[in-house]
Amino acid sequence: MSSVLRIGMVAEGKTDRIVVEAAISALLAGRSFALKLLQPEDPAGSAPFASARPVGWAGVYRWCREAVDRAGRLRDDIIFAGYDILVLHLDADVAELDYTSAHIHDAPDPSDLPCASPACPPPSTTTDPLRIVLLRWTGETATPPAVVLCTPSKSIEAWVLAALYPQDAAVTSGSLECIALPANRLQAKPVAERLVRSRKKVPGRYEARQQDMANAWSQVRQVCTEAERFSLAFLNEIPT
Amino acid sequence: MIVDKFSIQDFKSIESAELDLGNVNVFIGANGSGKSNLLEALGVLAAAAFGHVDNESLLRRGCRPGGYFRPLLKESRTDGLTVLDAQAKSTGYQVTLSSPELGRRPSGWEFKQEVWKSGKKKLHDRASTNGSKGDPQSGRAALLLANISPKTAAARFLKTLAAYSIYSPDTSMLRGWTPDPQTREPVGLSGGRLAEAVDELMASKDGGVKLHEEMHAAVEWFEGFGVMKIKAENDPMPAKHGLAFIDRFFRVDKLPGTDKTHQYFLSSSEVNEGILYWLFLGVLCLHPEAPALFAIDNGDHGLNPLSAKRLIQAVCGWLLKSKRPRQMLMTTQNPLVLDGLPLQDDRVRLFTVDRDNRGATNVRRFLVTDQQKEMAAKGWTLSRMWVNKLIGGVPNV
Repeated sequence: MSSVLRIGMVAEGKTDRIVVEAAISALLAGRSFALKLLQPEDPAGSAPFASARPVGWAGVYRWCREAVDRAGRLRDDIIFAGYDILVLHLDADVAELDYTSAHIHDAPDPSDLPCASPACPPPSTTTDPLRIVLLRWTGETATPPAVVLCTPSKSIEAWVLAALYPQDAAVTSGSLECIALPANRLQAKPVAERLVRSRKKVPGRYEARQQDMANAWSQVRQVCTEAERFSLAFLNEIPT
Repeated sequence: MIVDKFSIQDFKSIESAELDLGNVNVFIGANGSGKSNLLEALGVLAAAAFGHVDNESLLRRGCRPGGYFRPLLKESRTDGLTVLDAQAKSTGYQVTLSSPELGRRPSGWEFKQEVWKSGKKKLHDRASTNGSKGDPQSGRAALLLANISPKTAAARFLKTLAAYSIYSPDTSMLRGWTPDPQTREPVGLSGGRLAEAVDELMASKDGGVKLHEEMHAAVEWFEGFGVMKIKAENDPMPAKHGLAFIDRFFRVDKLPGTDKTHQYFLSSSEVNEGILYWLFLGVLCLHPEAPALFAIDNGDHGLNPLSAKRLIQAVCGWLLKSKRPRQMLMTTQNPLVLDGLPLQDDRVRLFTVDRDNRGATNVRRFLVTDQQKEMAAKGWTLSRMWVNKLIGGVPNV
């Protein structure tokens, strides 16, 4: 009835979806897909019965634990009845935090965070253990079929920088993925084109530049090893 | 006879869709995902089966007036024609139509191709016969219907298609406060003529009893309903009909000085709107003159979610047990409607509707798996799966 690729995404924030959607658009090269953001949901102000899941990495954690509650482990979850591919996003800077900072008291292994390595590059010294942590949240020890991990270092804004500002000093430095808070560099751009203002990511600005990000995806893959890892993993999971 | 397969190419947000339909078909999706466009595409085919597709014939079938009919997506074909195809077991009807460009007069759509089949035999093939002759805005299958026995499957199918309409109940019209611009028998597209239709249903063999029984079981306060006919003496006009509802908690007063009692009742102006939606759907499902094929766009918006669940259960029961084949397409935004669908019966089908990365409408049938049954056993209702974004048909919020 339909050959549109159905992709579910669990992300830290709404702008992360826009960047990943740009990447997927480039990777699928014309094939239709529908990407649904499973997490985060819109915050409902101060409503007492709003979504139980917070925004940010704690929300990703909570979504993963709910999948475990449903099925024991992610690969057995019903989510794959509704989606062909599931993207799990977690910025690498989460590796520098501990669970109590996000008020998480039920982690399967409370000692697995923080897991950041001071050695960077390569960013994989941090993202490799972080991916194991992420999988542990889902009740898995290896990446299940139809699941693609997305762990930009230090955050997905490094990918945005590489796509939109290839001449930025952080991008040309050769160690973009090791620079803390790349969003700050986006905030330092001219006011008219700022994607991040007052430390807030502006979804409308991200949307407006989404096609530019898609067009530049090949250069992002060259600069960011985690973008390349995500791309290869995603392409590998596309059903034939 | 029902439409087994309905295909759409290049209509509004739909570039390509193929629906394997059952008797009860429910469509869920975000606002703006294209659910109503699916219903309207069948409305265009219905108008073609009637012989003429223009604003008037589309309005009459409940399609939203005016606007663009060809996809306006950035990457859509700009020269595309709309192709619509409905197939049943032994017959089928397909048209290729050119919608008018905005501002052009007359506003009729042109038939580029029209094929009406009975089995493998083509009763009419506009493309291969004299397609270049005659009025391009007139469908020929509708004319040929006059030469064919109405008992044949092909004739019944075309008539069923032509009678298709999209109902969209409106509380003001259900109450009788506002005239229904698309009134007809048994009931108008927005609910006009409801009282008359209920009166006819009560007089039919057992439709009124079925409706009364279901409502009695589902609505706590409901004791009964009736239809009042008001006609002034010497008034040449037909009697005016009005609905009356009895609340079982109301007292019954004895009239002073007589053995008679007075029963208080609620009129359709006073009664809660939910009960009127019950009657409206009851008429569409049980009235002997109700169309065999129809659609309801958001027919449950006046109902409490649990009442909507109970109502869809009743609707499925009425349609599936009907002696004549009945088919309904319905959109809903109410999660609990899903929990009322007997999806274990293959005649009841659920479709998720989403727009893809280019904006095109994408329709997918939801099939119940063993895994979902296991989830259900753990308390995961279909509505819970839907609002948790586990089955698609949701907005990106």
